[in-house]
Amino acid sequence: MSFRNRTKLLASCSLLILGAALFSAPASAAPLKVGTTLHPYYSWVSNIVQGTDVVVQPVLPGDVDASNYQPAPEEIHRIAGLDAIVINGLGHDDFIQGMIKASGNDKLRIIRVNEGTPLISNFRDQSPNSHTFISFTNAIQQTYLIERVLAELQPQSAATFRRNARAYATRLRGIKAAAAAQLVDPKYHRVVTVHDGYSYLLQEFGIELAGVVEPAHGLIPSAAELQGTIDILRKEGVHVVFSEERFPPALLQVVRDATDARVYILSHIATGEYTPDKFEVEMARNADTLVRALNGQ
Amino acid sequence: MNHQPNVVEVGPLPWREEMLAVVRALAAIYLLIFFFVWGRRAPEAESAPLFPFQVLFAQLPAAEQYLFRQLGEGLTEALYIRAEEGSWPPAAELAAEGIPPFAPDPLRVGAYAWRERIEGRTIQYLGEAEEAERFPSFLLQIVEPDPAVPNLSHLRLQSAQSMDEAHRRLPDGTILDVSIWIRAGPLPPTLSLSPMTQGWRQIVISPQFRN
Repeated sequence: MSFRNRTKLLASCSLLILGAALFSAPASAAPLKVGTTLHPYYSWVSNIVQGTDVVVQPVLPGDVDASNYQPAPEEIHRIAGLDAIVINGLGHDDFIQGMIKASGNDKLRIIRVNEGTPLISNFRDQSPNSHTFISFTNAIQQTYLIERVLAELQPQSAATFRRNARAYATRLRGIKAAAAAQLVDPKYHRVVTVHDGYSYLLQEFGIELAGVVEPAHGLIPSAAELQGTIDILRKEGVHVVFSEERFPPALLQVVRDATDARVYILSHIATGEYTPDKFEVEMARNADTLVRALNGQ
Repeated sequence: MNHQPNVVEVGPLPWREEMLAVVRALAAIYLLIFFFVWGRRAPEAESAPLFPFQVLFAQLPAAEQYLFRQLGEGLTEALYIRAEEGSWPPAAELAAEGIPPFAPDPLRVGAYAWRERIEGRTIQYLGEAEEAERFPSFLLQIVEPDPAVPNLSHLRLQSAQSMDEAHRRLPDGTILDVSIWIRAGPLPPTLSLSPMTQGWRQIVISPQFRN
């Protein structure tokens, strides 16, 4: 090989090495960015990645109702920078598919937490109930699913993810067990809920759902539908109604006046500030509300 | 040349023939509409009927649904222990760590006792109610692959999210066959590795699922 050829070969190799270094270095140095559509998913992912450099980004502002959400350009832009996103995929975050498409992020790993989750039917029809996140059992299993996918994306943190997920699962089981111990012999077993979002949670405490006030997800009931709920409460001797903060108080007052049922407020864990402990705090509050309501307190 | 004009008398159709023509035209229109609508109909999901020994999760009573959900949680924890320690944890160990459904649950209907049974590459976690005549028995069965006989159906299951409800993946890539079964009454005196031969019914989540 001539001197000129050797020089060319050396220069080519140097360029290749330099190119590889330039293109690979930023990718390995950049922290993994994981987006979430719902508040519970933000809490779960934040707990899994605690102590690592993984960045958790909610896609929506905290005070937005996901069911009536219209995406803003900056929120679509945010998705473009994500490596993975955790979604419900059953109707709670349908807006996300269009946002992902608009973002042009074709390398995004979509973590559909409900794949493999056994789904309970809605009260009024046989369609699957999408509120799988208001549940201890589902939260634990879906946390583990997210953890396994994140371990594939960032193998060097797999042991930390696993340890964190396990600790989180243990804490959630502790909250559930503490409430269950107070519901061994409850005064009431049957309830009515305003919103059909609590079937998973109620099943975990052996509580039977006798009726749902809302005719469909998020709809305000008509006078006739409200009367139907009052009839159920009277005829079937149901004394407990679980409502939500956003439901009109005037309608709840009608139920209170017409029956001897007591109304308690459950959290849908759907609005407010995104915090790692939000899911634990609000589920503990929900469990406490169940205990009080079913024991007639 | 003197040509006589060809005169044809055109009169109304007899009422029978007219009616027949109208009926034919209507039939043709209805046929076109039928084929148009039928052709535009969304293709139905490929749903194979369940095997006779399978039952849908959605058709179970609430208490049995919940026990099935808890078995999914228990399976996940057992898999982690298997991955880390190389062997399957006894049911008593899972119970001691508070893992459902092996741990005592004051709200559970039926007060179940759990034990495990290992035969070759198959592990069975068995739950029998205290009042076994009133409440069904449950079986969680896990089959490890035979290294001497590669299972081609496992090749597509490469990531945590490519699993279907009959498989789980260990961190080392090993694919396991898993199934959850329910049976009325107590456990049979001897247990088969083919539960369907002993009256067990496999609980499946998806109506499209046939293993």
